[in-house]
Formats: sequence, C-alpha cells, structure tokens
Amino acid sequence: MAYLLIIDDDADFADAISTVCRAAGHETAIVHTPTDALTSVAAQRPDGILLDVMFPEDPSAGFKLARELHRRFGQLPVLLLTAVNQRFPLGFSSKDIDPDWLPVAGLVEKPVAFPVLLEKVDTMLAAARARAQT
Amino acid sequence: MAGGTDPTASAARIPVFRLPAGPAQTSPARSSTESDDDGLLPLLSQNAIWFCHLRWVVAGALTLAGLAALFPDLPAGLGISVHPIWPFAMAALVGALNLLFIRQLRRLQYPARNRNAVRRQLWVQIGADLVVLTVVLYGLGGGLVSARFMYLFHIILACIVFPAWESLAVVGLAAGLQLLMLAFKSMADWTPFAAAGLRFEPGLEPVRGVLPIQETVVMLLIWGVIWHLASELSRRLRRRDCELALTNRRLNASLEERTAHMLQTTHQLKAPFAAIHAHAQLLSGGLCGELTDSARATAEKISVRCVALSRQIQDMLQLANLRSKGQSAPSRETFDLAALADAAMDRAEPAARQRHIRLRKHLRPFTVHAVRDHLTMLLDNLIVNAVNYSHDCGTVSVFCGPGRGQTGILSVRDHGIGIPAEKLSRVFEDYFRTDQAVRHNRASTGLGLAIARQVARAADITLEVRSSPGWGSRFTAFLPGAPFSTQPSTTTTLDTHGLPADHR
Repeated sequence: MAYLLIIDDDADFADAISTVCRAAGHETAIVHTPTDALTSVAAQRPDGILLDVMFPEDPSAGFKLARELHRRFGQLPVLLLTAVNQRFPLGFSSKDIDPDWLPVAGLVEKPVAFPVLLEKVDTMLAAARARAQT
Repeated sequence: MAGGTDPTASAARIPVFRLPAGPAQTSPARSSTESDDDGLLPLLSQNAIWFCHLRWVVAGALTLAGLAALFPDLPAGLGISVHPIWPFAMAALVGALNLLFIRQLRRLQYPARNRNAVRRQLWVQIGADLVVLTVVLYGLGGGLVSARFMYLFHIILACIVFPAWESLAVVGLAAGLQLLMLAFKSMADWTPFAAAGLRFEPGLEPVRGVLPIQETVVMLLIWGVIWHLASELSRRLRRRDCELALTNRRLNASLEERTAHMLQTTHQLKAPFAAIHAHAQLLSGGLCGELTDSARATAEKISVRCVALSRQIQDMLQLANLRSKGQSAPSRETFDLAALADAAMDRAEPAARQRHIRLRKHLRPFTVHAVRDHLTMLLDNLIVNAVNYSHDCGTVSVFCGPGRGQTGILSVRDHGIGIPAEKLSRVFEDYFRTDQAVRHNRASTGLGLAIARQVARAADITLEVRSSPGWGSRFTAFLPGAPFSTQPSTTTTLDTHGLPADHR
C-alpha cells in the first residue's frame, strides 16, 4: 500500500478522501496550503499526491504547485482533484496534461464517486511503480 | 495620550485599500460618451457607404446622359441638348472620387473604427459633391435654374447623417458656393465650359450679368425650411435608433452578466457539494461505522440525491459555458461523427443495461468540422434522453451518416413515453419537463435538451423532434459536413428525411 499526500483547502473534503483512502489500505497525510505541501513533500516523499486546483488566494495554485513539485522533486505521481469544470470552454481536460504545463498523472472532477477515485489512485500508483522498475 | 504615542502616526503606517463609492461594476463599464459613439459608429459607417452607393447612381445617370448625347434625337425629343463629352468627364470624376472614398472608408472601418474619422470622411464626401455640383451648374451657365434644387439632395442627406448644427453648416456651404457662383457670373459673364466649347443648352435662358437676389432669397428660404423639417425628423429617428441600440446592448450585457454569474455561482457550489457528496458516500459505504437499516437507507437517499444534484450542476455548467461569450471561441476539428456516436453509446450502455434497454446502432462514417466537445454533449444528451424516457426492456436506435448533399444526419429514436403534440415545441426550453416525463423519470435535470439546442445553435445544426405518446420520440440533427471532404456515399434506402427505412 502507499503513502498519499492530500492537498486541499477544503478540510471536510480532504478528511473524507483521507478516510476512504485509508479504508482502501493507504496511509495518508493532509495539508491545506501549497506552501505546507512543499514542506511536507520535502520531509517525506509521498508515493502519490491528490491535489486540488483552486486555492483561496490563487485559483490556479494547484497547477503552479504541480509544476513546482515536478521541478523540485522530479517525477511525482500527482492526481488533480478539482471542481473546475473540465468541459469546454472554462477549464481543461486530460488532453492538457503536459510535462511542462501540467505535469500530472490524471484528473478527477469533483464531486467524485469513491470507486472512481480509488481506481484512478490505483492506476496512478501502478504506473509509478512500473516506471520505477524500468 | 497613552504611552506618548501618536495613534494618528501609527495608523498612517497601516496599509489601506479604499473601495471607491459608486455603483458596483461587475462588467467593464463604459461611459455614456463611449456608448453613444459606439452606437452611432455603425450608423455613420452605413450612411457613408450608402452615400457611395448613391454616388454610383449619379455617375450612372451622367453616363446615361453622355450615351444619350450620342443619339441627339433622343434628348432633343425631351427638349434638351446634351454635350457629347462633359457628362462622361463628370461621370469619370464622380466615379474616381467614389473609388477614393470607398477605399478610405475600408481603411477607417477596419481596424480603426474611429467615429470622428468616419464623420470627417462624410464631410469630405459632401464637400466634394457640393463643389462638383457647383462646377457643373457653373458650367451650365446658370441655364438650368431648377438645377439649384439639386443642392437639396445633399442638405437632406446631411440632415440624416449629421446633427442639426452640422447639417446647417452644409446648408451654409451650399449657399456659399451658390452665391459664389452667382457672384462670379455677375462679375464676369464667362463660363469655362462654354469657352471650351462644352456648353450645355438646356433650352432655358441663362441669367446674365444680374445677381438674382429675389430668386436666391426664395431659394435659401426653401432650403432653410426643408433643412428644419428634415433635421428635426432625422433627430427624432436618430435618438430612437440610439435608444434601441443602447437597449439592445444593455440586454446583451445583462444576459452575459447573468450567464457569468450563474457560471460562477454554480462553480462555487461544486466545492462544498463535493464535500457533502463525499461524506454521504462515507456513511452509506459504512466507513463511519455500522449504521442501522434506517440510517443506511437515509444515507443512501442522500447519496442518490447527491448524484442527481451533481448531474444538475454539471448540466448547468455546460449550458452556462455554451452561452458564455466571455471566453475565446473553441477550436473546430475535422473528425468522424460515427466514431463519436459510438463512444457516446458506450457511455450510455451501463444506464441502458440497468433497465434492460437495448441500444441499436447504425453508424456510417461522416466527416464533420465542428467542436468535438460540443458534438459530444449533443450526442450524450440525445442518447441519455432517449434511454431516460424509454420503457424498461425497450430499444433505442442511433443512426448517423451522410444525408442529402453535404448534410449529415444524426438520429436518436426511442419507443418510450413520447411527448404530447401541444408540448413538443417546448421540450428544448431550460428545465421544461412534461408531467409524464417527471412521473417516468424523476432524476432527469430538464437541461439535456436545452444543452442540445445550444450546441445546435453554435454548430449550425438543425434539430428536429418527432414524437407522439405511444409512438415514442425521434430526435434528428442535420449537420453541415466538413468543407472539401469527400463523404462516403450511402447505399441504405433513405426516407424523406434521409433516414434509413428501419429507423422511422
């Protein structure tokens, strides 16, 4: 099982996600700001990150944090969990995933069904393990 | 003062942000001057173009006069004689000026869109026309007295396009030119055209040597009265035109603001709702400990309503996104509609399977040039709608392929509850659902067909619905094909709508 870092300013949502991930056998930690996230990752590198996009002071802080994590720590499996509408024309979609602009493993739109979330987390972790072995 | 500190001095160091008083500006505000300018600019430009069109008529009339001069009997029959050269010369001059004006106008309109520049150009046009007209009248030797009323054309046109004081200035310019011409004639009874042998003999005696004071005064009075009437009428029309343009712009701004507000509000609702949804799943999934049967049933009801609300929020966002003009236009792609329809049917399959509804497909390749996400929305909504309103164990058929000409056809047919004829025209309205539809499926958002309509509008698609209670419904979309694409020909027998016979 894996150690997952949940980065979300919505404490209630983060708690719920943490509960379901723990029930699935993962270890979790929660931080609520991008700054705390960088500190936390530096202290203990997670196997995977669940990252929100919009934070109170910066609606695109999640994108910036994903890029910063990629720059500082190299390839980290990040799953974006966002309420931003992925449908045209407001937001973005999995087509926008790019090592430079959006270095993440996948996107999940809130609200999310837990089975879907756990499936995405498993896929992300499996891909990371496969990458580590090669 | 406590501690000897100056509270004013310390307060001065605390950062301040001052929100200026005044009405809230949720959208970029524009001053009334800017609004008026923007409102009048298209009108001014249209008038300037209209002037140019009229000038072609004048050039044409002069050319015709020149052609008539080639057959002297023709004008002689009307009691006038026309010189064979000067009408052509004047037509060429008027035509050349017109070409120049049109070129300038094109430059002014794109991309400068400067109202004052268009206005100046109109002034140049009117001024040049008046000078040309005066030269023509001077060339006539004052023979055609009634020709002076030709100035009225310009006075009335000026009343239409300019404010009163500017059109009065045009009257003044016309009067000045007329008086100047008469003064010239009175001082030296000499016409350059006549000297050059270009004399026009209209059959009336020219005025020689005397400034026709009385005639001129009467003429100016007539001009004045006509100016007053035309400028007053024009002022009222222009004011109404501006009011209409302003009202239209306010309506559009209000609609855009409402859409933006809905988009923002709905999005803001998503985050807290996601937390509620997540906690409801924790409860119903037993992740917060064992629940009694009734508590689990309650948690499941919350989860079910959360799923429905989630769909509602998603639909509202899609609809608001489609209606929002504040974002850049989506990019179009060229792709096969059949592949998109196939994927949409795969997505609908689980919901259909739950109710033992059979999905039949009849998909033929058809290349479209459209926004892929838009057509995905259209397909998803039409197919989900058909599944939602089918009876259990029913059948939903989806057809797509080339129709007649370059048109593509997408058709979704169900054998479900159908729609009464009197309610058929309302099914594309936001949140409209028939009583029968609500009884049959409580979970539907009522926005699916509104989204389909919005996509159809954006993608130039004609949507048609054929339905009757007991017969079911058939939604047909007629799509424009991709330009320059070679569409495969269809060998299936098509009915009058271009649908296969087994799809009726």
